[in-house]
Amino acid sequence: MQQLRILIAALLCAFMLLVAGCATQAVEDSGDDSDSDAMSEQSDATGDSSTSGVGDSGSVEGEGLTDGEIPPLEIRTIYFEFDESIVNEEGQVIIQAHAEVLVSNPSVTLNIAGHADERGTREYNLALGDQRGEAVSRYFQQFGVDASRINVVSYGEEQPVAMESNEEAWSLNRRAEFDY
Amino acid sequence: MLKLFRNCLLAVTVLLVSMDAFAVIRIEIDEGVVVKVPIAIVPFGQSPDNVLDPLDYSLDEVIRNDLERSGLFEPIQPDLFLSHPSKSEDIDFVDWKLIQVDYLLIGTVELQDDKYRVVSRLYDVLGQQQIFGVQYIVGQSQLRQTVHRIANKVFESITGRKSSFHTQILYTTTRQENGIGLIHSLFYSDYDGHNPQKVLESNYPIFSPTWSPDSKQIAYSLLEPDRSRIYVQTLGTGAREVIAEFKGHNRSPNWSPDGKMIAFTLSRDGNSDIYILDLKNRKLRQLTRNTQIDTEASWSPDGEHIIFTSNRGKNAQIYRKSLSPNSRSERVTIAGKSNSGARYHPSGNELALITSESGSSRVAIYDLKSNALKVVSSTYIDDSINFSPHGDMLIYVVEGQDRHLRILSPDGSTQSRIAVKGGVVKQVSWETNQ
Repeated sequence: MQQLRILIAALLCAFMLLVAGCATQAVEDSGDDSDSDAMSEQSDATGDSSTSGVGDSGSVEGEGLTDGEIPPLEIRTIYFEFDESIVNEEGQVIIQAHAEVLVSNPSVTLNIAGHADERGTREYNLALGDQRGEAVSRYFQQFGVDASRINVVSYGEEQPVAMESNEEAWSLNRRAEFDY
Repeated sequence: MLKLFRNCLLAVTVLLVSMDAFAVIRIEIDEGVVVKVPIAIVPFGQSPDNVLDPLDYSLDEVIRNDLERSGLFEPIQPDLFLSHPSKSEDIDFVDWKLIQVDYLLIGTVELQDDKYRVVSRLYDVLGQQQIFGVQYIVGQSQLRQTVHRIANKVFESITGRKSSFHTQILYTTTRQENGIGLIHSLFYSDYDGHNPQKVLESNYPIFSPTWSPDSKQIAYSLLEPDRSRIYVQTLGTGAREVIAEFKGHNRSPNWSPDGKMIAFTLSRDGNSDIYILDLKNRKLRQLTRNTQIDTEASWSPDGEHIIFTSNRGKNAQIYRKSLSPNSRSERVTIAGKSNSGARYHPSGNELALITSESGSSRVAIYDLKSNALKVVSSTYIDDSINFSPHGDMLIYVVEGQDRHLRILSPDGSTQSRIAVKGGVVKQVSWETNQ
């Protein structure tokens, strides 16, 4: 039995080495995702979302075009990946466009509502909605909107826009909506 | 290199196959251990006849459901019974050996003045002898709980372990009211959803209700428009007070096992951290401090540390921090993509939690010694998991289109739906009082 355990351990090591070897190649174009400060969040987003498409021949045509079709000022929802609060580059473009409007209208108040999909607990999702709302708020501040003009509220998983329980519905529900 | 790769691949394949073989054997052993005890619970004899008519339940059915939910018993359906004894002199043990039950429970219920006199006896069928006999004289409002007590006694006599059939749960619901909007309610009831009592009704969401260790008080977070506050309410009197309304959100309260402190989530700087409030001197202590989410604090059974959910490592995982000064947070769960809502088994050896990944979010048991994560629910979107006070059952909320409460045996082998009143169920909390 002891021998069997050692064999299994050895095989596991071999397997991990193999996986690690394969992963090294993949990491090069997706960026390190273990860091969580703001700068690496941005580079994370670049890696994860294919919408920016810089140097990525596979996705430029399809999604790049959709980007051009809807002007950023007509979009007031930022979407997130599962269990993440990282605003991707597309989201940042949308926020920047609205921030310019807000900067030139200093009396207007900005309301941001963070939401989560139904996976994970109700309580954690409330905090996740907060974190998403705050992430959007930080970009607004970075683009010149004063923090005192911004209200952030979280609805957690309480107010889904899509009622089904599948990946498509969840991707629509993981969002922050803003209004001013 | 290619050859090495091929050899590795071969080795991995062999490994997977052999691990697979182990998994099968282990499952067989697991199932072998849990041999459910066949037991017959005979409908109680009534005097005068049909004395229980005004009730919406039968006593034997309550006991049958209790024992079945534990996953350790297999109550035999009454239509297989060859006789229906309610007194010891009416028992013919051959009738029970023939249908292969190990234990037999009989009883009578009589109406005397305004009270019910309930007598029940448990027999060992092979040994042909009585294991216990009990008698209770109770009013109608206590009758159902008395029957849960009999089930407790059966469970403890046969397994040597304590059971949680005579315990209570807290649960929140929402319902749409015409012209008013969404109404949020908080109830407590027997663990099986019966005898619901409304504790609170509010226009604002009620979050994460929890029991004091003596079950006399409850705490919850109310999401009021300006901020969320934590209230403590005394069940007997209905009196309530705000214990936390600090700047930011005050959420997810959890009592220390000695009842002296409440751990909760506070977002003073727009970010959630765990704080501990001393209920006597109202001193506040910040337990965790980082830029990511820390929430869902829950005390270890010995009261020495707190476990909580944090996404400091990108996704939600369970962490632990000792209450002693200068302690550091340690990550607990190392399996599962995203884990939240962890609660300790009373033994302290394992956690029940919600593990989320692509396509599902399910109840799992996390073994703290082996770090093995085992999904035990057969539903797909689960929330609000709790152990029973004795760890013999789990209760949780099934989400999705058909939201409901569900009780699960810890091995996942038996499950039952719990019907509740007051709207769509959102969260549940099992009392910890033993």
